[in-house]
Amino acid sequence: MKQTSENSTNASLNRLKKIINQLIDEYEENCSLLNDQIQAVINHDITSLNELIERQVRVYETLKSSEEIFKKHLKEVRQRHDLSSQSLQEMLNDLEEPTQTLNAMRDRLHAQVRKTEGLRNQLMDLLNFAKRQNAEIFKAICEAGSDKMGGYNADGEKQRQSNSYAINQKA
Amino acid sequence: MNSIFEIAKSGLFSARQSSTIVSNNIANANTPGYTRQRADLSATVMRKNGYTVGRGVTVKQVEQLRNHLTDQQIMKKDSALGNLNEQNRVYKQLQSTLTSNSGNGLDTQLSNFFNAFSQLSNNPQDISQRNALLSKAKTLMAGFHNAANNLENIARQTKKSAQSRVKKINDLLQNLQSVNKEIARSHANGKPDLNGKDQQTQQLKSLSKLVNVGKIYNKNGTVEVRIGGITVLGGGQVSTVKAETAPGKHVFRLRLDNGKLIKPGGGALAADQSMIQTVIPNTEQHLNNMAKTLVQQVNKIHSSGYGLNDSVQRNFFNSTNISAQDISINKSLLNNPGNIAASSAPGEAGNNNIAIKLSNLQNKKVLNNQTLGSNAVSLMSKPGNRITELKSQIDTQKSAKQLLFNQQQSQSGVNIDNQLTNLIKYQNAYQASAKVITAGRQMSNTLLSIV
Repeated sequence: MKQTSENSTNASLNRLKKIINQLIDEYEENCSLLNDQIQAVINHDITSLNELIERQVRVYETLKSSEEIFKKHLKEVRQRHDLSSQSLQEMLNDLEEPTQTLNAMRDRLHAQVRKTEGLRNQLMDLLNFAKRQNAEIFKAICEAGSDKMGGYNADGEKQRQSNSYAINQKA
Repeated sequence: MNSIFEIAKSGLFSARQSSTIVSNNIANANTPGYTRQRADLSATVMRKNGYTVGRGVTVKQVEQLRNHLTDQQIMKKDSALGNLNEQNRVYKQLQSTLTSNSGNGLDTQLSNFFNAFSQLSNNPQDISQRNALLSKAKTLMAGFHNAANNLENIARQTKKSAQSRVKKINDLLQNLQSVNKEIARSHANGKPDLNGKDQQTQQLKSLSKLVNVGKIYNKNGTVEVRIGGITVLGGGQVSTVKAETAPGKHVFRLRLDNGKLIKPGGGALAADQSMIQTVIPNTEQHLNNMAKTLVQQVNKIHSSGYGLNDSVQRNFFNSTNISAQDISINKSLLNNPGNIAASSAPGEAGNNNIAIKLSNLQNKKVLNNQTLGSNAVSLMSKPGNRITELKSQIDTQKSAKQLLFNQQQSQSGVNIDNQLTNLIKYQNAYQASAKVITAGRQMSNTLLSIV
């Protein structure tokens, strides 16, 4: 009976290892995608950027389902061992079985998620910068009317006015 | 992680430079002569353990999308058009001087003058016919005087406008010298002065409209300029062009401050020179020949006849005043119309032989194998014919220039529609990417809380 229980615990922990491994692989792929997106923004390569965004959405779908599986399996392990711990880290501390491999895998996953987070922040900064620059260029376009479209302000100084007609003229 | 930040930093720097260039392009979309600029990006790589590792992106250089060959061709067209337009302007003045809107041109005045002799031959004793003849003769004299004075005025005005063009040439050469200095300084600092290059091209184009310009570009981007094969700007030196004219004479020469004579070779100034030295003098010469022939031919017949009052043979015109400007009627005829010779014999009041001979003079080919009337028509119609030719040449040159201009615009011009479309594409892609990233961030937070 004890043998059966031990086998069942090992199978459950092996399954957890597989799920974590899969999550690590998927986060690595995500990192690579984020790197490619950073490069595409830098190179003004909109075609690649659009393709990468589509791939990113697909990767998120996979990650989401892997994460659900991970959460579900974590719950099962917790119930099987009658543990109250909420996180994997706490659970591994509470388990009686040796968990060095799982601990190392958890650390790898944690580091990978952090790395992904860093890249995401980097890409967000880059995107915000690019959007701001674009907005400035839009403003320049709107002010690219001819001088005839300009007027005078209350102080009598010449002032250019934004003109949507002028920007549609062929240069 | 550090390498990621380095790559992103180089990317941000390049993106900022690229965006500044695009902003500058758009702001100058309506600036004449502005050339679109483009950032030439290149990947930065590093060799590590035998592998090539990407280190981001850098702006290698900012280049101008300008084709010098097209510029060269446009300048040639500008030079030709400048020449044709100036010729056209002066010929139009000549036309309005020599022709009359009321149809009372020199040809009509000549015809009226000879017809008055015909009228006199019908009744040679009639004083009122003699007065009518004198009146027609006075109108003809005024016609010659006006034409001669107006031609002189046109010559004077053309000289004036040529002199103002010479001043403009000197201003342009001075500007080019300043632009050259700026370009050379920027080149020495390793940052090409692209706006200076635009200014240089604009100044050269303006110069090409005035004279035929030879250009040699130096490696540092400065330009050496030659007019008529002689260097006027180069080696850090600029020459001053001076106009040489002589009052009352048909002379217009260009001389450099070092004493060398130069030929404009083309452009508006070459047209002015040709008008001052050739076209206007030839027109004056033709008019003077007509006046001289009229005086000589009329006097020859008139001085062989007799008036009503005595047996003295007189000239009809003053024989010493034979130019169009000073042609005049003999005073004794003006004071006493009876002295007009209609008769071939003294004391024969009814004799009309001389009057008939003088009337017939209008049909005799006395100048350039043509009658005086035909000479007048030819003189009057020459500017009109030339204007028609010039108009067709101007139209051809204009359409050729437009073709080149369109070609240049497709290479150098800023197309705001394209820029705007690109910006919208970029903005949409950036927003989509940001949205997806935000979703991913929430997911990671959940995972981190349970790992």
